[in-house]
Amino acid sequence: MQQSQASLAAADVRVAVVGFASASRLEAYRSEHRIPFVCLADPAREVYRAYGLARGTLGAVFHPKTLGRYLDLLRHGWRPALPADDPMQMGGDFLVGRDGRLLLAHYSRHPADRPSVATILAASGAAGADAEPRPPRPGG
Amino acid sequence: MSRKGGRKAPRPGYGAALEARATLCTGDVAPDFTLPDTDGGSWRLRDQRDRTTLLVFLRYTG
Repeated sequence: MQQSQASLAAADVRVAVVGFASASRLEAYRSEHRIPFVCLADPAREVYRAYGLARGTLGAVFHPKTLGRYLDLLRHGWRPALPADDPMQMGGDFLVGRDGRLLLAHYSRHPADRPSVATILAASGAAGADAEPRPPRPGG
Repeated sequence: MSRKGGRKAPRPGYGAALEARATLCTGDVAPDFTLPDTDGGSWRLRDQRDRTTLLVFLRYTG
């Protein structure tokens, strides 16, 4: 996501990251992963529920693509620790237009399932055309 | 005797991996919310109308 920051900023898309850890734990996570976006703490998961984000099944959480990613991380020296948060909580991505309506609603089927930046930009571009007031006609 | 839960909940459109619950679709009004940010401030979705906003909901953070 960090690599996409420039593309998203160029498309005038603001990014807000929501986590369900406490604000202090989320800040540590933000620093560790150098997340350049605002991070919001929702430890009660009320906003997660409002957006329909549920807990996944074991099959979803330990999806083959996720296991493959963990294997890659292990090969690069990552050592897993016992999760302090709920590892079954699923994530998602929602693009909100200037009119407050959703331009994109993506529910992750597994932890590695996120929309591409191209998908986000396409949805944003379509929205921009809708949300922006039409320029006045020349001479009109 | 009636069966408990006789009416089936609709299947979520993104597969059976998630619990059946109300999901949002493109075109729906995004639920407004206010949450604390990690800098100690307060962040409200409704106040972000000047730009398109991408909300990224994380899984667990370790």
